[in-house]
Amino acid sequence: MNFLMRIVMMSCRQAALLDSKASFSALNPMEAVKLKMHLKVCTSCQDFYKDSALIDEAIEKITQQREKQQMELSDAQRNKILEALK
Amino acid sequence: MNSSKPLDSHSAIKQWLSKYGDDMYSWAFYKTSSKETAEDLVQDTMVSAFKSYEKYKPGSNPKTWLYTILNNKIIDYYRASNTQKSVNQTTLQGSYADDDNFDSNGSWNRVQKPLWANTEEHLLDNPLFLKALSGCLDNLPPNWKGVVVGKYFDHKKGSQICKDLGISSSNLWQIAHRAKQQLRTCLNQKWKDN
Repeated sequence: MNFLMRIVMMSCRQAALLDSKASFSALNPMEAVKLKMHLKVCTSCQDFYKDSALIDEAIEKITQQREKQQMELSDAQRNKILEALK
Repeated sequence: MNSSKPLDSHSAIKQWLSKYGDDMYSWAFYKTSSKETAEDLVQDTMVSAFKSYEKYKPGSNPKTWLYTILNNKIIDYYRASNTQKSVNQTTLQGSYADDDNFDSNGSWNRVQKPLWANTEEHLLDNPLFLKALSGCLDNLPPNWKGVVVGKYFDHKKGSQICKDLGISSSNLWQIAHRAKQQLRTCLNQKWKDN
């Protein structure tokens, strides 16, 4: 299967790269078909594909949480910044 | 009049620092996850604002003006990290020597235990899982992180991220791809320890 896949389709690395590309812009029809075919037969890539989506979702959650984090400059930090203005 | 101008700008900046400093620091930290970097960025912003004080339109919102400068400084910070060797053409298009997830044929080198198959709990609702991922995110090299920040934190389009960071779109996909691989490997390691 692996041998056939390499000839007819593409490597798992290429599939993962297309997954990355697809997250920024639409794949061209050829790429989309190749990725779909690859995913149909490759369980490792199916796992990666699902993990990739899971990680995307988890990062979204983290960014929401982090945005609320309020930090404070210490007096020393403030003085250092004011010092730099001179 | 002219001689009093530097004094004016200095006291204005001082006032703005006390008013907006913490928010700017928080924002810069949110974007870079480094306290030192965030402090440097706030300082650079204040120095720039001080030097180009005459460009500030009196009566307009100083916070908006300062944040424009700060956001540009953050973009510059990530752009500068892209001049490092780690994203140059040879590394990206040459061998994947440091990418141990694939063998030379481009097949998965080692089969990772899929995260999604973790059905005993909802990973996305698990604070420990999110904390682990958060740590993994902070450990990404700065030039990869610029892509992650643009994509997930700012929800920018790919073309805009490329423009900000001064990279091509294929570089962008490569970097996002490698960042994703590293995050997954890192999560697999961290999550196993739990």
